Amino acid sequence: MPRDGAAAPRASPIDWSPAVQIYLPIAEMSVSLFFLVGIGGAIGFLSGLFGVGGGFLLTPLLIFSGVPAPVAVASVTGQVVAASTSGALSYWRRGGIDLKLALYLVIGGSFGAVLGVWIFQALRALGQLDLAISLGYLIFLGSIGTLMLIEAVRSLIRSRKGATPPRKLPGQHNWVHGLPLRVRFKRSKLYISVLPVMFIGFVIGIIGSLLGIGGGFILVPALVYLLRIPGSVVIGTSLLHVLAIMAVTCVLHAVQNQSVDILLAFCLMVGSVVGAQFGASAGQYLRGDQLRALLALIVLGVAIRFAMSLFLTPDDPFSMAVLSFGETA
Amino acid sequence: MVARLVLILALLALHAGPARAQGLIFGTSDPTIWIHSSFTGETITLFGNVEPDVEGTAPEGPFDILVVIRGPVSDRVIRRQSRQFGIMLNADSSLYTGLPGFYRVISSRPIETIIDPEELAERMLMPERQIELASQSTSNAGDIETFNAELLRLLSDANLYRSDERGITFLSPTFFATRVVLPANVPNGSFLAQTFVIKDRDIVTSRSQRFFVQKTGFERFTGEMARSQPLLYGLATVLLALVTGWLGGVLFRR
Repeated sequence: MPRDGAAAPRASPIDWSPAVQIYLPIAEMSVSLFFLVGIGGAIGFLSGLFGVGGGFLLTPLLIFSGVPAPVAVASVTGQVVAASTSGALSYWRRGGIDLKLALYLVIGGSFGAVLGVWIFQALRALGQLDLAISLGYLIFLGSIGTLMLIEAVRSLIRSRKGATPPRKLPGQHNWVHGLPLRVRFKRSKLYISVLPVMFIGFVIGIIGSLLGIGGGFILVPALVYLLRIPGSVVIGTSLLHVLAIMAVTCVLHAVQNQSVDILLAFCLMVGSVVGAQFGASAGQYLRGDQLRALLALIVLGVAIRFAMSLFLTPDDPFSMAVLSFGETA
Repeated sequence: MVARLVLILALLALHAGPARAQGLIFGTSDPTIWIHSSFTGETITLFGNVEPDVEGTAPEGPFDILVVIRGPVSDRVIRRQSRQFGIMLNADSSLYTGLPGFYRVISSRPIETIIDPEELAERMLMPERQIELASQSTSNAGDIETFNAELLRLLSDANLYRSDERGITFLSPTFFATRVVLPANVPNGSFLAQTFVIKDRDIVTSRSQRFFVQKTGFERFTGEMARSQPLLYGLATVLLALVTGWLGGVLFRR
């Protein structure tokens, strides 16, 4: 993959459908079109089912199927923008977005994205990008998947016992609400400091640009538990935030790393936008706690796959890469 | 001393004189290979004819032919994973600058039977030599040979480096052709094909021919945009994503 740099030109391992190969101009490899639209569709289905962006599944899938990590991470940002757009629009029509809150999140997130893309480039120069991506995924998906699974199993056991789940109402105030620079968020009916808002955006921005994920599955719990954002606006606002930050990240990756493959992104977008519709209707037949348990298992599965690549001795310890853009060995 | 050197050179020139009289015509089937959206590799045919020097004088055979094809150069790094702190990470690495991204050595017979190893080494024709030449620095100096060998293996696995010991077809005693498969991952740029006519283990004459591998149409446009107008390219990707997402929402009425 000469121009975008971090990995070598290599034959794609995906050639079970040689008839419809498509040449990716930035990745400089040819992949089966069915495979691309297919995984886009499958991930879109899951994202519609669980109400998550799906970047955290799509980026690893691409990496594991031979797409160079820098291209995978950068191109998935485009796919996440497309996947969040239709959702954000429908929440917007229903008034489910707190624009002012989203604005502060995006300001923090933009700084995070700039820093994240800078770290991304630095790691690539050091030759440790793949390691950082694997470690990052292992840590985030491992911890979040475990938490989600514990929560979902508890709730499943509770509902099996027939007890009504005790609705633990979040307290009116916690330490977060004591911080200075308070601003009134009318739609969320909150009067809180902008510092934690921007900080959350900042952290998600770094993680998102580094790992090629929207970060909705981290953002939503953070907004609910830390800031007490009401459920009516939390999904819409987080979708808008993910959309904006992924758009910023996509442009940053294009400018800094030149590793956005527009054709790859487009194939994934088409698949995922269609898949999401089916996922959303399938989701209506599953209970919330079942869905969460299922999602937790998938998240943990991806984490385990990354753990294997980190801890198991590889078949071939050698790898080659073409250097570009001031990389050093 | 100097006189002796001159004498040796003169003798060499005399010796080489009649043999070098052979001419060579050499060409390719496609001056440019275009990479399009369904590019999965391409075969290029190289052909040539050993020509008589003076008209009417038939070239004296039999000949052997050696074709060396070099792709565009780039800087490459090879890394070795090893276990540190319990996890596998890239530890040692070796840097290569100006290394051809594609290399083929095609001969009419096993190469050591048609040319002297010294001559081969001197002309730096073998892929091993290319890698040695490009080698710049290694984090662990003792491992340089391991890294060189592993790089050649990786390049061969990726179909980028290869030698073919019976790849030349003679259609007449003087007319020859060879087919070279350019894989889907072939680097873009300028390729140099050198042909050597060998007689009695001596290179009689040689000729070079360039050909190009280039993206065309949408692929070329995209590649150029991504490099020359990265901001515009990024914005276009975002716009495409917004439109796709919006269209999806409208079409399916979520």
